[in-house]
Amino acid sequence: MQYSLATIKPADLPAPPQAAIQIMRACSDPAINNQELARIAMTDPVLTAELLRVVNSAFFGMAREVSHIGQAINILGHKALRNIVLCISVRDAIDPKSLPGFDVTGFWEDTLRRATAGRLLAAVVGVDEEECFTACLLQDFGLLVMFYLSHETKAEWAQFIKLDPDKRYVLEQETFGKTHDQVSLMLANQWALPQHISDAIGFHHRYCELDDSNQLALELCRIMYCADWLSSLFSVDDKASVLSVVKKKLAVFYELSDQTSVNLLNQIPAQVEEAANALGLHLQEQTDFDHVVREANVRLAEENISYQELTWQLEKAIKERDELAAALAKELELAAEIQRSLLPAEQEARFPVFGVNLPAQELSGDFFDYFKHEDGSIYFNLGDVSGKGVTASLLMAKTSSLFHCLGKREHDLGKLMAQINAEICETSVRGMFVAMVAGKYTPATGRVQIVNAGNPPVLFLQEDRKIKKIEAGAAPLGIVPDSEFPVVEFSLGKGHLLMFSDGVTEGYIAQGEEMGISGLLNILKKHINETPRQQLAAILEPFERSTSGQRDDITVMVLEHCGQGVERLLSYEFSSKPAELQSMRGQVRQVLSKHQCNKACVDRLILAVNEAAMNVIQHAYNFDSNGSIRIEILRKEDELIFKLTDFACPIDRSCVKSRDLNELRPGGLGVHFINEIMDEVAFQEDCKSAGNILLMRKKLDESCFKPNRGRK
Amino acid sequence: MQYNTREEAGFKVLELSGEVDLHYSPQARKQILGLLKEGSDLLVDLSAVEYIDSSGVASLVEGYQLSKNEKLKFGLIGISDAAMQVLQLARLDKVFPIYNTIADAE
Repeated sequence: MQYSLATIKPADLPAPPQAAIQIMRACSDPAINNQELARIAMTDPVLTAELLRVVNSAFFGMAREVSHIGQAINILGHKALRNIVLCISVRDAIDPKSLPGFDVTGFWEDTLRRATAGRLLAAVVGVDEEECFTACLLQDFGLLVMFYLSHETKAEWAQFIKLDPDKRYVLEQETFGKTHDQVSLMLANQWALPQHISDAIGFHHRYCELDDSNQLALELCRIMYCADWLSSLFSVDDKASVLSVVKKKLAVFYELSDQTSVNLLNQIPAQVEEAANALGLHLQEQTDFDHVVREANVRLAEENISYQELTWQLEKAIKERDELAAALAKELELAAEIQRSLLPAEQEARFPVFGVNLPAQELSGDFFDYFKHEDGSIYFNLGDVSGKGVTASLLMAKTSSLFHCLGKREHDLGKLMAQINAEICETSVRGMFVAMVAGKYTPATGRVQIVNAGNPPVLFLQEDRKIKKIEAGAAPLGIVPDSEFPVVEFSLGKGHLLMFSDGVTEGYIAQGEEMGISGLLNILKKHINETPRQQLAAILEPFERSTSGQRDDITVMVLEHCGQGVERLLSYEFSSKPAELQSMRGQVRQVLSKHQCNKACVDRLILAVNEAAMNVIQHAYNFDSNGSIRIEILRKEDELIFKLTDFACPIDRSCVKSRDLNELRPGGLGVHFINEIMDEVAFQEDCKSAGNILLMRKKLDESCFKPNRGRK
Repeated sequence: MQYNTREEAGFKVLELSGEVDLHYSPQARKQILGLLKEGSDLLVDLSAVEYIDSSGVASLVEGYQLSKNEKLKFGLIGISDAAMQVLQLARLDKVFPIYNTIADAE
């Protein structure tokens, strides 16, 4: 095989002494005999003397001292002789003085370490040790030649020695434009080395390119390649990773155990020193393998520290993430707490409104609220903001606050809703809207007003157990700015209202089956004879039973009638003088007007009370102005009771009766008026200390609340 | 209650105003009966009446009955809502001659 390099010619290469070339050639000649070989060697006395010194060194371990070249040849054989001559020739081929400033000692140390490693490995795997030693000694000689030929690069050596063989090979290409194996091959050819050694030297970095039939060369190549890695372990910076590579390569190529590899490595430093002595090279004290391992461990420890640092940083990052998540969770919890505070506080047991809000997430888009106005009426609302979570909860908070705030000033429910709608339309974002039902309940009259803006129907569970639906009469808030909100008004009687968000009807009660309005009605029908609180529990029960049932925020609110006892609205005592009647009528008017009764109704009730008082003045007291009369107005649910007490002598009640209206005469109309206006009129039987007690009862029905009528 | 009497189109017009209750109805009665006893045709203007009770109504009934006996004209004009409500309750809205204007009463 011939190689031509652009800038290096064989003539540029250092040549061994003539005698050495002759010996090496003769050794390769199977026909040559020992005497002839000894004769050639003795033509160069310096070489001969050096040969004898090397052969007698501990490295070659001769059993006895050899004093003559012929004897050496007899003991060593041709091949060993050739190798020793080659070693000496290589050592002497370049005069250190021709490479001023170059670390020649370092280079030889590196070379000897490689050769020794090759020799030790060859012994372990059963290959010719001396041939391996020689080949390894020569394999990197090309590098020294390249430094020799380009003086300006000599300082680069310090970099080479620190690198593993692969990296070193790359750096050679970058530094010299060629690699040591190519130059070494030229030398091998010029020095007439046996072909398989030349091939191994030329291909030890590219042994895959060698023909499979070239077994001797392939065998040498593997030894040389492994020796490269073994020796580099002692000089590289990154000892930990090279040690790991060495162990792997020896395991792959020769199936050596880690322990065998370590044993081999252990022997290298001492062997290097012996080889140096044998070749007459002076090296620094060799670093033992333990030291190499310690350095590798330090490196590993450093890496472990980095790993620990990485772990620590990861832990720190996780901790930070957890802290942020905890902070966010805390924020959400605070938000949820604030939101819960927007829901009405649990009122006293007899308060007629109560409800439940079950958020689907931390924060709810649903809400309900109620508050008692100073006039005694109760405002309530239940809403469902489109969407869920934080955004919905913010709009929920706004809407709830608007209702709470504006509701205290605007008493017309329709106008109140229009104002809230306008506010939400003005500032609403992302097309969010609020389905809402709002109402006003006047316990004094039992009247309820409802506005349903896009919410599911309000269910009116009437006294007769019938369920009436009050469907939405307007679009949800936040969609049409100038919407009108029709008010539905009726008497609650002894019934109650049930309001709910669509989270109830759209929740699952069974596998994928929504409760629906029909499901809700079925539950209510099943529990129709139970209290409103029991009915509320029955509605929520399916969702509490199944955790997967709740798909949206669930809110239910109940308004029940005030089943309170008798409430005294007025107690007014006055003298039995006709002139006092006007003040009495003023007192009664004031009380009745608060009840939202229309003027006609109030006028009639006042007329009846006045007639009764007149009768007391006229007939009980006989116009004795020293008498006293007490008017009391009591309310029992939707009934007003007018109680008129005097302290005159008991009258003959049989005389108190209506007269025939067809009989046209001035008197006797009073009792007719009273009977006509009141539902029930009776004297109380047991008057105790009083003279007479007249009880007049009037149930407030629809006619009392209709808008004021004109004259009939 | 306040009252005022004037003459118009051959009628005596008694204007009652305010609250015609037991305290004031004797005055109303006295005026009504007095004017009729003078032989005047009488119209009672109830347009400013805010309240009237059975005693006030009784005064009107008495006046109406006297006018019949005396063959005098008697009627009510300008009845307020409050007064009309009471008259209706007493079924007297169909009994009393009621006119919208004085001209109608002629």
